[in-house]
Amino acid sequence: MKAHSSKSQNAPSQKGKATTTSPGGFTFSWIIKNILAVVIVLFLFNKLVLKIEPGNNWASGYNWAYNMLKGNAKTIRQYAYTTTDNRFEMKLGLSHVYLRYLKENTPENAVILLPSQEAFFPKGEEHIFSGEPFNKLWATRFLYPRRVIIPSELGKTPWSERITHVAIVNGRGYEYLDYEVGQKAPHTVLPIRIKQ
Amino acid sequence: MLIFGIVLTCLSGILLTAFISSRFSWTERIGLSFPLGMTLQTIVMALLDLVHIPLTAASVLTAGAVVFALLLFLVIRYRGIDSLRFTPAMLNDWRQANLLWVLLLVIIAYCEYMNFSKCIFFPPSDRDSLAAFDTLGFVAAHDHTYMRMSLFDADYNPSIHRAGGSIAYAPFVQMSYAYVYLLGAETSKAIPALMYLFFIIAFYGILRRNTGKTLAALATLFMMMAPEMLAFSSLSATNVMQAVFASLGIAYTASWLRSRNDHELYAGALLLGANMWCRNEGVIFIGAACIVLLVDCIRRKSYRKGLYFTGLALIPAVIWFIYMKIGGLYTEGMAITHLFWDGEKAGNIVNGFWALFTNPLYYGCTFPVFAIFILADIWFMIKGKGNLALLSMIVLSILFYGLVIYHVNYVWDSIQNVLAYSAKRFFFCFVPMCWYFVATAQITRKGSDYIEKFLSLK
Repeated sequence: MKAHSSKSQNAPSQKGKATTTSPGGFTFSWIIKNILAVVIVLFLFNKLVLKIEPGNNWASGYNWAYNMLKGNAKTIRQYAYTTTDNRFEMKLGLSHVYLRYLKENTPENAVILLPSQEAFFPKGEEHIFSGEPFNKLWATRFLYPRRVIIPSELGKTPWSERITHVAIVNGRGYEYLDYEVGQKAPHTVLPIRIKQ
Repeated sequence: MLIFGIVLTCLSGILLTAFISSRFSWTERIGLSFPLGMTLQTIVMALLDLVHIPLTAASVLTAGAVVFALLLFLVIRYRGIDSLRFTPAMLNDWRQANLLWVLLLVIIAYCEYMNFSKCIFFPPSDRDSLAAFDTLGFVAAHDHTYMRMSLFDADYNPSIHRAGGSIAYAPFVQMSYAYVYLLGAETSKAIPALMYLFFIIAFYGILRRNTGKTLAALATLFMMMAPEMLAFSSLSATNVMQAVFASLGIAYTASWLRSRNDHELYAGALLLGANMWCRNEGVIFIGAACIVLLVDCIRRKSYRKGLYFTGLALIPAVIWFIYMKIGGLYTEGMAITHLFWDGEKAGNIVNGFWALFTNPLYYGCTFPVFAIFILADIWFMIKGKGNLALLSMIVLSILFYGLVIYHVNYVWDSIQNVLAYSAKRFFFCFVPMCWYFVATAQITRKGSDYIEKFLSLK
């Protein structure tokens, strides 16, 4: 077995042994054998990956993986000149648009109260957000260096006393403001109290 | 600056493999350069953070340059500059090429090109990345510390110490993301993209060491195209990166048990150490390897190598333990620490594992082919020529994974959900291990010899 191993090794120490086989040229039999092997493999590749028979479960995974890569390559070509921000938007949809809006409309030292999961995904209403924009860490990725407070932390941490802004989502969040708002926009960000 | 940082990391990785031994092929050196170099870089970042040096582009690059210089000195001093000489072993394969091997390399390169592009193009968007790994790396880079970052302040983030909290996650992925963010990256996706790319090269390299080039390329293709693993390789989650370290670590350890070339043992130990630096449960692979090595040590009545292996493999874990202690990075316990018997839970785990092993949509034909080659290799294993040690490490790791899942108190989710949605990612580690077993089984090696004789240029 050892002899076998050393024969197949690719390590530099084996270089001397490997080079002792003097390379010959292309022969007719080499060409025929290689073309035959390539044709067989391409046939199997076509049968098992590219055009699978219905019900062939063992091959369907590879078919899915290959098509996934091809589909993504097409998307990449189509949107090659987009910015990272555009691409976040492509993946995260309105959740990213909304968090970007919060970022653009609050100062860097803002402490933002983010509404709960129920506010983002209200029962019985259409869900326009995706992902977990209500999650503290998830939202922090896009709002940093602003601090994010979630409703379950209210009254439990020193930071919940320092809230400067309230995020309004699907018309929810106005209840946290210290003042009444006349025209209530469904999605916005407002200071928690009006400056004197 | 980002490209400079990545090149520096790769060069450090190459020097680390050169320091271990000059006997690695350049395919292996290049393949291991990024995974090992990034492990080294993140350990250096953790040490800087421990001594309160702010993590900035200047500090991490300076520290990386110092490590590079130190490794260069050690390589020149102990291995000689000749060990870095380019030895074109790969060219020997080209001189004895066959069209099938070339075709397989082209397919691998094409598929990986598409996968790499996909990974780099799309920013992190999966839940686990944004609710943990990517965000922690991003905030650490901007707070200039990992241990003391704002998200780890319980006053600001009171749920951070809860069971399953991300504060206690092993740091490799988050720190490597912090590294690229510090160097000006807009997203962290360079890390998973490069990890998979270099993994494919390294996997081919270790396979090529042990079998013919055509079969090595074929097994690499099947391994990299395992559907669910391929899909996850372009996300920012930790599982595929752990699979890189764990599978290569087990493969090198198994290779050492066959060849007794010590550099394979040390590479195996370093990679298994890195696997625990990547995910805490990586300890199961170290445990499995240590048990097999202990049996080997007892048979040979020599324990020195086994002790070296264990010590090397546990270095990152020790650093992480000290780091956690000093930084107060802990979560409420979720492990059941006493022995108990729960037949329903055990049954759920066995059924869940079986459902995963037999799911072709997740892993393609990996596990059925593995099972066939176990049967095909049984005779050689009985005769002492088969790869019983590798098989033992794989089986022990699966058993340990089952035990870990069994001993977790599922307070945040049901065990059914964990088995259905999380456990499929745990099994990524076994995909490359199984293909390594298949490609290095005695019967395959005989077949490989025949294919090379039949197809290659003489």
